[in-house]
Order: sequence, then structure tokens, then C-alpha cells
Amino acid sequence: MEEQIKRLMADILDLDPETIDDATAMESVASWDSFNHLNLCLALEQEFGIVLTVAEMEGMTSYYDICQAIREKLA
Amino acid sequence: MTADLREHFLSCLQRRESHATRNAALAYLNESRDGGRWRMVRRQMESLADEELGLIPLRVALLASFSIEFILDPLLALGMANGLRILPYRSGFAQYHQELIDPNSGLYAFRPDVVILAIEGERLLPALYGENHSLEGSDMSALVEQALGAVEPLIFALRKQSNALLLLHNLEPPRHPLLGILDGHLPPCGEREVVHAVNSALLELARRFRGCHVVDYAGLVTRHGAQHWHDLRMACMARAPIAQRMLPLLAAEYLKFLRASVGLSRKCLVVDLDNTLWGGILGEDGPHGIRLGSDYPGNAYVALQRTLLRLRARGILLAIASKNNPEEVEELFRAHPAMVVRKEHFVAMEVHWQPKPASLLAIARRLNIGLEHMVFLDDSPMECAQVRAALPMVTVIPFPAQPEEAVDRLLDDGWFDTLQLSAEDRKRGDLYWQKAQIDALQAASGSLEGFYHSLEMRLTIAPLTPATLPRAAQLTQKTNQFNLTTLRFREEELAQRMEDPAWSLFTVRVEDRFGDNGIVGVMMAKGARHEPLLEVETFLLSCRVIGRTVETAMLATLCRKARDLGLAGVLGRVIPTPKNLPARLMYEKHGFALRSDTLTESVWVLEFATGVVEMPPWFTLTGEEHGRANQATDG
Repeated sequence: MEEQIKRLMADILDLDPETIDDATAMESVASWDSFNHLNLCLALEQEFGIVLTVAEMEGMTSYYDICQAIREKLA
Repeated sequence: MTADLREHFLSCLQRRESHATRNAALAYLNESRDGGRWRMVRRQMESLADEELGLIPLRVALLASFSIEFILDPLLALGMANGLRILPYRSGFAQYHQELIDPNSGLYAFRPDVVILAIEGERLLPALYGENHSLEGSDMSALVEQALGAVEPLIFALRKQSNALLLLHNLEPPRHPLLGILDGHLPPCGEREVVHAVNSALLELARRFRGCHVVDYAGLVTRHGAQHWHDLRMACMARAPIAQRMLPLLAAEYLKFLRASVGLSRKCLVVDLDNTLWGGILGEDGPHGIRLGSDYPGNAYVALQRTLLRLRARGILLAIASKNNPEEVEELFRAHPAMVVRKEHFVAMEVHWQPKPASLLAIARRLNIGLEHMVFLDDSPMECAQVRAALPMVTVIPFPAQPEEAVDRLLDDGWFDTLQLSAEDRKRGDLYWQKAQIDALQAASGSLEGFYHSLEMRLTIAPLTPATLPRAAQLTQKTNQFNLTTLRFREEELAQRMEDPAWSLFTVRVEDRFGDNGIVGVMMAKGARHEPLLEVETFLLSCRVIGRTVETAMLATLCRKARDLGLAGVLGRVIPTPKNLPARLMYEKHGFALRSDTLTESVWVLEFATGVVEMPPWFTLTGEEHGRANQATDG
């Protein structure tokens, strides 16, 4: 699951997947703007076959938070 | 399957095969509307230079009352798959008004080829979309006026600055009218009916402005369902109301217009016969065994045949490429009671045992159209693959596994959509058929004069009128071969000339025993500046009627006109182009004397003292231009 998330983040935010870790967050990544954030959320939905609420989307602002949220969703 | 399509796309891309790459991209994209796929195709194709993919650049400005930038991946990917490099311009959020009104805006600096204006009903008529608690005190016409009053000045402003094609969204009806099921049953009016009236008014507006077209956004939402179309989360969070999975459908709708705007509309549909126009195989099942008629699956094939006739009615040429026994096919066309299409509906029939690519090439050559304007419909995966490999510029549509899906498969992508349709365009199928008959007649006639007489030609040479003006302008723009000066004119320019009494402006219509060819010629002349001659500036004739002495009749008319004006002769010019060889000898053949000859122009004069061009006896002259065929295109 972590690999899938890293791949999508790398693809949409134009990052090297190797550099993505728990500290990777919206506030510190320049390409992670609100437009790409929504693209990322929609891509995660498709990848994992889930539907996110607005609150969940708004909370997923770091790699760590994304992993947490997806784990909960899939549980 | 998905992995195959993806690999195939990437390997075509690797090999830099432009048409094959585009086809592979289309096949891969058509399979799913998942956002990731469209992003991937966009990025991969953007990595190649335009020349390598043979892309036509097109500058497209997106102006919207909502966040429309989410469409960029699908729009650009689909654009490239269709042969277009779309260069997008995005205004600031909901800045469409300032962008259009301010002549110094970024929009006009961008010099768009196309402007897409997508304003939501919420923005145009907030009263109808949840803002007001009652419509009392307002009436329908006031609300329609309000909406139009907001849009019309924008179009005016655009037309002052730019000739860009304008694509104007119409309005999606409100999903929750104030009065629910009572909407429209109480005075003053219903919310939905107001929106319908606004949409009609927008169409009327589009008819008034050149190059302005309505995108039926309401129809698109209806077709795919408002509940699927919208993403309420994205609407609230990002003012992006359209669900990501629906954006490729909106992009595909835009592509219908964009393709047409650069001349990529398909003109000819080539169909297979067995398991395409009917179910079963004629050679094996026999004329009574094939499936065609009122029951399933025969009725699905009948529906497809009807669709073919509808395409023909909008000027699409129909042709057949089938491996079959020609006598059996002929007999079936003549005798089967459920056949809707008839032999004369097809401008070419390649019925034999040669490979399909050879048939398509023969059809393209006979009709003198490019392969990129052809669509091929066939049920055999092998033949589809063969055509794709040999002629990748042909649009191949595999007949669907279920015949009832054939009509949608053929029409959904809008391959045949055009931005204009003249009366002549609509009759294209008839005209090609007439031409084939005439060729046969000429072959059968002994003498040339006998042939001319046998055509029973009726000629209408009439002054240009507002009704014939669009066709005249179109002819000046399209005619290359029999065009002596190849000067191009827009409708407005011709309209100005009509005001000027110095000009004599004529259109030429030719009818013959096979039908009406419509307006096929244009002449424009005025008195020469320093001598008593009628100076012919524009003289052109559609290639459809070349070789029938129509040009002689036209010159005779000019001689008559010059005499009526008390002039002593006619002066004509020839500006040579790479394409107008057939016309260059015209003046010489009709007894004109060469006055001067340079690389760029030759000037010819006929003085009445030495001769005159007579009207050939095989023409019947009719009076006023009746404009019958043009009425259909008015509007």
C-alpha cells in the first residue's frame, strides 16, 4: 500500500519516490498545491477503490496522514 | 487487455509512428475514464515534438465561471490523440468577464484560435438556482433578457478583438426547482422552462454571430445523468463541479468542434456488408438467410442502415468495401424487402476479393478525398487491423459485438461533425452520383456537341443576393482549379461590394437532367479605370461542372453586360497558381488577345470590334436565381 501511495505522489507531485517519507507534507513541497492535492485525492480514490469525504481530503496533508487515512478506510 | 493497449501505445510512441501512436492513444483512452490514464498519455505525448506526431497547434482559451483547469489532462491528451496540439490559456478564477471586455487582457494577448465560454446557470441566473425564494414579480421574458444581457456584450467584445471560434455552453436546468413537482404549474413561470427559453435564446444568439457555436452542455449532463456528472465535494471545496470521470466526456464534446475547426471532419464512411449492414454472411446464408428486418437482430441492422441515410443527408459520402460476389450483392440490393439503403446511395462500391486497404485506396482516389477524411466500419478484427496497419490515417471503427450498439459506436465520437453545412454540402452524395452518370453518358455520346445537348443544362446567371452571398464567399475560398485570380473573399467583403453600384456580381447555377448542381460559379467585374472595358476581377467555376462549356456561357454573359453598359470590350486577368492550370487558357481559347504577360499576371482583352463570345445553343437560360437550394442553409 505504501508503495502505491508513493508512486501516485511521485507521479502527481513530480517527486522522486525515494525522497518521500513521513515528513513529506503539503506545507514543505512546492508542487503540492491545492490543485494537485485534489488530483492526488482523486487518484487515491481510484487506486484503492474508496470514496473520501471532504473532511478526510482536508486532513490528508502529509504522506504520514495519507497512509493513516487509507489504512483506516481499508480496514 | 488494458496492459496490452498501454504497451502498444508506448511502443508506437517509442517508434515515433505518428498516426499509429495517435490511434493507440485513442484506443487506450477510450477504454477507461480514470484520471491517471489521461495524465499518463498527456505527459508521454507531450514529451515528443509536434513534428514527430504531426500535430496541428491550436490556441484554446478556457473561460469559465468555475474551476475548469481539471479538464486539462483529458483535453490535451485527447487533442493529441486527434492530431491537435492544444495550447491552453486559463484566466484567473471566474475572470471571464474582464478578460473578454478589456481589449488589453491576457486573453487577447494570447491570440486564441478558440474561446470556450462556460458560464454556469448559478452565475447567469442566480434567481433560478437557489438564491431566490420566489419568482413572483419577475416574468419569463425578463429572466431571459437578464441572461442574454449578460452574455451578448461579451460576444460583442470578443468579436471586436478576435475572430476566434467561440464555443458557448448552454445551461443545465436547475436540479431542485423551488416548487419541486409544481415547477411550471403556477404563475409566473417555471424555473426549468425559463432555462429552456434561455437555451433557445443562446442558440439564436449563436446564429447571429459568425463563428459562434453552442455546446449543448445541458444535453451532455442529461445524457450521462446529473448525479454522475457532478462531484458535490469538489464543487464545495474547489468550485470544480464536474466529476473527474466525466471530464473526458466534456473534452470529447469540445474535440468535435476543434477537429472541425481545423478541417479534420470526416467526409466519407466506408462500410463492410456481411455482419455490418446485415447479420450473417450473404454468400453462405443466402438472401433469405441473412438477418435483416423487424425482429432482433435484424432490426439492429435496419437501424444502422437508417443511420447511414441520415449521415448521407448531411453530406457524408457512403461507400462499400466488401469481400463478396458482386452479382449476389446487386441482387440483394434490388430485391431484399428490408434493405433501407439502395445502390444509388453509395458513391463507390468495392465488392470483390481484394484486400480492404486496396479498396479504401481506390475509393479515396475515385472521390478525390484524403484518407484522413475516411471512416471505416467493419466487423472483422483482422480486416480492421489490416487497415490500421496499412492506412493508419483512416479512422477505423470496429463493429461492436452487439449489433444494437452499432449506431452509438458510429456516432458518439462525432467524427462527421462540421461547423458549417451548405445546401451543396447536403447534396454531395447526389452530386457524386450524378457525376458518375454524366461520365457514363459522355462515354456513350458520339459527338461532344451531342453530349452537351443531351445534358439538358439549365443555367441561372443572376446578380448576387443576400441569399446567395454565403455560397459565393464559400466558393471564392474553396475553389482552386478553375479560378482565374484565386482572390478569397469573406461574406462581409462581398456584402460591401453589393452596396457599390460599380460592381457587377453574378452567381451561376447549373441544373441538368440528373439534378441541380447548385451554385457553382461566381463572377465579379467592374468598369476598367482608364478605358471603356469591363474588367473581370474574379472568375471561378467549381470543378464539379468543368468540361461542359459553362465558362463560355459565363463569358457570353459578361460580353452582354459590357454591351449593355455601352463598353467596347472585356478585360480579364489570370494570376497563375500551382493549382489553376486548367483555367489559364480560358481567355485565349475564347478569342481574347494577350495584352501583357509577366510572371505574376497575364492580361487579356477582347474588343467587340474584333469579336464577341456567343452563348452556346445547348444551354437553356432561366431568369431569377430561385435560391431554392440555399433556403435550407439560412440561419
